[in-house]
Formats: sequence, structure tokens, C-alpha cells
Amino acid sequence: MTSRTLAQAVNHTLDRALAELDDVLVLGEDVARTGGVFRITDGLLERYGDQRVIDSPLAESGIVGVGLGLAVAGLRPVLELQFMGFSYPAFDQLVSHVSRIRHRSRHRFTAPLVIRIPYGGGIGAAEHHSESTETVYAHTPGLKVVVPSRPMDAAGLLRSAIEDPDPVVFLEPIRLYRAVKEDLPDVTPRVPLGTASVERAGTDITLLSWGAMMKETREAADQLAASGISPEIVDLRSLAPLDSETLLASVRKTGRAVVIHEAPRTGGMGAEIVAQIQEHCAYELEAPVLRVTGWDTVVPLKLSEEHYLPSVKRIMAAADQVLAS
Amino acid sequence: MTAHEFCLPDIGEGLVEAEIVRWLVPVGGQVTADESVVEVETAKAVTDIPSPFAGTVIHHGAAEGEVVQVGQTLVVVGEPGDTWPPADSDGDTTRTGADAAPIVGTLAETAQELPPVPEQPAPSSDRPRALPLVRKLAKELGVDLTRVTGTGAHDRITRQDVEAAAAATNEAPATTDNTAERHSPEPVAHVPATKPAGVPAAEERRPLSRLRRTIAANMVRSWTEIPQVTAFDEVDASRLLALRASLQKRHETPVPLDALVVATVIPALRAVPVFNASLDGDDLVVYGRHDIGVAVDTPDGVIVTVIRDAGAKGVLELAAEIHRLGAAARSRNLKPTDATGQTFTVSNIGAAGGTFGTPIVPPGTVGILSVGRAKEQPVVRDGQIGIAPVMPLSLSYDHRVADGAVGRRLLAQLVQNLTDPALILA
Repeated sequence: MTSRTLAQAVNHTLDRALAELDDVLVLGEDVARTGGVFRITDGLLERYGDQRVIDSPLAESGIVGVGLGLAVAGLRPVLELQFMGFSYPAFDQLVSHVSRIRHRSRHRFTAPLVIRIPYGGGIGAAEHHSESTETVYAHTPGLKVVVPSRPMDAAGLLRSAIEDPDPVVFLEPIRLYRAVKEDLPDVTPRVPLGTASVERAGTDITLLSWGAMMKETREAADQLAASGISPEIVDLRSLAPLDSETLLASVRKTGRAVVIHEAPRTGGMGAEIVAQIQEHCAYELEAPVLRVTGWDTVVPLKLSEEHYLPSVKRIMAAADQVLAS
Repeated sequence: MTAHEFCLPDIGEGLVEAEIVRWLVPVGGQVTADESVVEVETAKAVTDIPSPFAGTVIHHGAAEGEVVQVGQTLVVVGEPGDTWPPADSDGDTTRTGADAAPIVGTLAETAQELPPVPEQPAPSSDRPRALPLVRKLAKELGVDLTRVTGTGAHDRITRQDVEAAAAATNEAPATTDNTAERHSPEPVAHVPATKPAGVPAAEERRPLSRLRRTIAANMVRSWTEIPQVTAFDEVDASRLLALRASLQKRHETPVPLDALVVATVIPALRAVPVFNASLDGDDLVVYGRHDIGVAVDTPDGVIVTVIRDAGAKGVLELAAEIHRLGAAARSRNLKPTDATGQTFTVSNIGAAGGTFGTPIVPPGTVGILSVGRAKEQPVVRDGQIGIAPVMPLSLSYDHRVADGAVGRRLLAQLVQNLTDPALILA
């Protein structure tokens, strides 16, 4: 067992995948010689050489397009798009081609790609570095989208993503890279894609979240518990496919729910989740389901970031409202 | 202490280190902001790096010809007399490899240890299923959803289920008063069952019927809210029973004993009006009309039926009404007006062979009279021993409203009226 941060867990999982699976390669901007702008791919070039760990040009469309070609040809590229805000030049490749290659080829070809995308705000960075537009990729049929919030899940989900025959968008919450750590066995169990985790069992209210917001959600749950409420935390872990079974079972059990995400409110994944809840749990709800989200604005720069991201205070206010009904 | 440390910045393009070619400002020399302080060579080019700070150069991070890594100290600029490293620092503050400062943004560096995730529990839900609108209605009508059986798809509770439950609770209580115009129904605390030690292993669990649950709820309410006492007496019922026989013969119709009891209770209530009343907070609401509750025994349990304005009815009318109500109660067809809102209650336990008892005052009323079976017993009349049918009476009442003397006064009136029914004529 080794205590690893989320960043170290990803690094370790890539290391093991490169060691054990000959067809895996790592491709992206600054992944090789720099070891990644957040050092996620640190040390890999030295161990596996420049035929397996490759610095790409500054060209996201090319990264994904070339990655797709490599994948169809039989390799398993783990691509990196350095920030979610940089992924849009690759959007056409992802949505028009990567997501459809199985469909287009009538199952003759699949794209066993992993597209790692560090994302999310709260890191005081400049424009383009803090957004959370995961809904767009979750909305695209043919793409799986997963997002760990803790090292164990990062390792387990990444290995499953690498082994999955279809493309997986692997979102990494930058704000949590070094903010959470866990004891991990050297061989971390795989976490199946499309599964949520009931991280904390409770009976009074369900808090649904994913990614960096899990940090605030955990803190809010502690505060609720301290005042005698029994909160249940569901870490969705997978946005496409959504583990509806787990999240709906939780809401049926408690009858009260709050969804927390940093992405902008309108059309965010929270809207899909609430729609499913009202469709399938209407008879068990004691109160309307509330969403605590980012605002419908461009993510602000450092000085205003704390006003944008859902805070523990905002989550508590929503929870109080739901519990009072 | 104003020394500023300037680390080799990441000038982009994947460069991780630079070699010092030439220091342009020596240690101790002055430099202005944005003035070039050093010439470095990277993999790409030889370039000058400007100092972001104005002041005296305190320290060179490396000598000419040496290599500085991105993030390592390049130069320190401060005031004359400043030292580097500062006396209270712990030396080398550079980080390399996976822990090096990120190129973009600022990351939290203190990692929170996460507790392991517990075994995933099996989800379960036995909460009642009802639409929000139906839940709202239930709340308004004071219906407990956990006690309602849903008739909708997948056992969901419909609006009709809630309305029926509300009506049924009003319809057939044993000792309850649910009229909205007089009393608002209050939720009763659920008393958890305690299992006695040594219960045999084989046991049968029988869910209570809705009537039983309603009776239970009202009993608990009365028991916990009303400090009640019971006073006892006996009546020589010879004349009462003779009167009954005469009436039955004259009118060729059965006259239940209850009808006569009710007829004799009315004047007693007029004489002691606090018993025809209801306690509402600090006010005693005394009613001018007498709506007398008559307990009816049904196979499912005791149901109280109500004779409206009994004081305006003659004995035969009372008899007819008691017949009607009894039949309706036994067939569970009572209308809400026949089952709620009594001002005083009479219970004939003699019909089942009972003698004395301690009836429970129905919530929202002040008193209840229980009449037992008349039994032939020796009595003393005019100094002589004789035999007479003796009828036991038990009067329970709310001690907040009436003390012993008042209770005795009503009981005395009742005994007189029942002993000599002719008295009720005036």
C-alpha cells in the first residue's frame, strides 16, 4: 500500500499500463520531456522511450485525429488535451469521428482511445484553463465520460478506460490533483465504467456530485452530520453512461436530493439528473430536488473564482431548504 | 527583511533548465525593475532575463557555466545587508519532478487523507409512495401516509386513498372527536411496542385493523391529555325497567334501555352544565344543545354513534334513532355527522354483562357514563330488606373541569333520575 495523491495515482496507473500493455502509448502536449504541466506523466519518457511517450505539436485536432488513426490501426493511445478549454479544436474529431467509428464501420473498427482532459476551476489560472463543459461530451452518443474524485477511483477508472474498446473521455479535476490522497495497493482494482459510488451512506438527504465539487460536498456532509442529519453522498464518477440505478435508488431511499456541479447551470448534467429523478422517483420525493451549480457566465479570473464555484455555504443553504420542506 | 527571490521561470516551449552564460549585475550591484540581470542559454537560444524587482542583488542562484532548473532560485534582489538564504528558512525550497510547482495555476498542496469508502449498502425503501400533491393533501387533512394502503399502480397512494382515509378516521372512532368545527385533529405520539422478556419463540403477528388503530390512537390521546377520575354509584332500577316494559307494551316496539338512560341523562346535564362541554385551552365551551354519544359494540370494535339534539327528542324518537344508528354502525355505514361531535357519552356495558368500569373520557369531552347490568340484589327500603334489580353506574370525567363535589352532584342527579324516572317530566 502506498499513499498517493490523485495526480500520483494517475501517474502510477499510466506507468503500469505502459509496462504491462505493449500497445499503450501516451500522446499530448508537454507530456514527454516536461512530464506534463501538472507532472502527471512525469518520468514516463525516461522509462518507456520516445516511441511510447510522445510530445505532440500544439494541435488538439491533430492529437485526436492522429490518435483515432493509431487506435483504429490497433494501438491504444492515451491522449491528453491539456485543459478542457483547449479541447474545442478537437471537438469535431471527437464528436464527428471518434464517437462514431464503431457505428460507422458497423462494429468492424472501434477506437480504444482514452482522452485525458484536466478540467475545472479554482486554480487561479488565466482564461481557458478553468472551465467545466463536460455536459457537451456526455451528450455525445458514442463517448463515455468518467470523472474520478479520489485516487482509488482515478486509478481504477483509468485502467478500465485504457482496456475499454471504445473511446473514453477521462476528466481529471485539477483542483484535486494534490488535494486528496488515499492508501492504494500497487495493483489497484479496476472500477467499472458507468458506475457511481455511494461514498457515504445516510437516510435523510442525498448529495449527488462528481469531480472537484466532491471536496465541498464531503465538507457539507460533515457539517450536516454534525447537526444531526444523516446525509448520503453519491459520487457519480461516470457522466456517460450515468449510473441511474444507483442514484435513483439513493433518492428513493432518502426522498430528498441536492445536485452539485461547478459547470454552468443551464443545461448542465444536473438538469439531466433532476429530470430522471422526477421521472422515476416522483412518488418518493418529500421535497423538490435542488441544484447548486456554477453560474451561467464565463468562469471568472482568480479574484472572483470563489464567487463562481459552489461553496460549502451554498450547498448547506440548498440542503437546509430541501430538509425543511 | 525584504529580499525577493526570483526563480527561473518557465519561458515555455518545454524548456526545463538554463545555463548561466554571464551575470550582468554582480552580487551587491544595483538593478532596476525590468533591467536585464543575467544572460542564459537554453536549448533554443541565448537570452537575457530581466529582474522583476528593483534593489540590490543579494544572491546569484548559480555561477556562470552552471545550470539552473526551472523553479530553482535564479537571483535574489533586496536591500543592502539582507542575507540569503534568510536566517529563519530551512534551506533549499526548490521542488522537482512530480511535485514541482505547476506551470499554470496554483494547486492546493496539502493533501486531505480520504477515509476508505464503506461497502456499498443494498438500497432499500419502504417509505410511502405518493405524489407531492398527494403528500400535501395528506398533510392538510392530517392523514399519516404510513398508515394508508395505496391503491394506485405499484402501491402508490392516490388522492382518493388520502380522502378516504381522512373520512374513515372521522367516521368510526370509538372515543374520538374529529369534527373540524370543534376540534382540530392532533397527531398522536407513536408508542413503540416493548417485547417482554421470555416471549415464546412461536408467535403470530396480527396487524391492527384501521378501526383498531383509530381507537388506539384516540385512547392514547385521551390517556395522555385528560386527568380523569371515575366515580361509582348504584341505582335501584325497578321503576326504570317497569317503565320500559310499559312503553314497549303500549307502543308494541322494543325500547332499548339506552333510550331511557339518555332521556334521564339530559335533565342531569342541564342541572350540571359543565359536563355538557368541551375544554378548549383555557376556555370551557359549554354547549346549549345535547348531542349524546351512544357506544355501539360491533365485531370490529366499539363505535360511538351520536344522537343529535337528544334533548329535543322524546323517548320513542330516541329509541328509533338508537336503532338506526346501531344498524348503521354494525354495517359500517355511518355518516360523519352520526359519528362525531358528541358533547357527552353514554356506554351500556351491561348489555355485555359488565358491572362497574372505568370508561375513558373521549378526547374533546368532559364526561362519560357507563351503565352496567342490573342484577337482583338485596336492598333496603323504608327500613325493610327487599329484592331489587340494582344497576351499577360509573362516571368518568375530566378533573381539570370538575372536582369531586361536582362529579358527585351529577352522579346524584343521575341516580335520582334513574331511580325515579318520573322526575324527568319536570
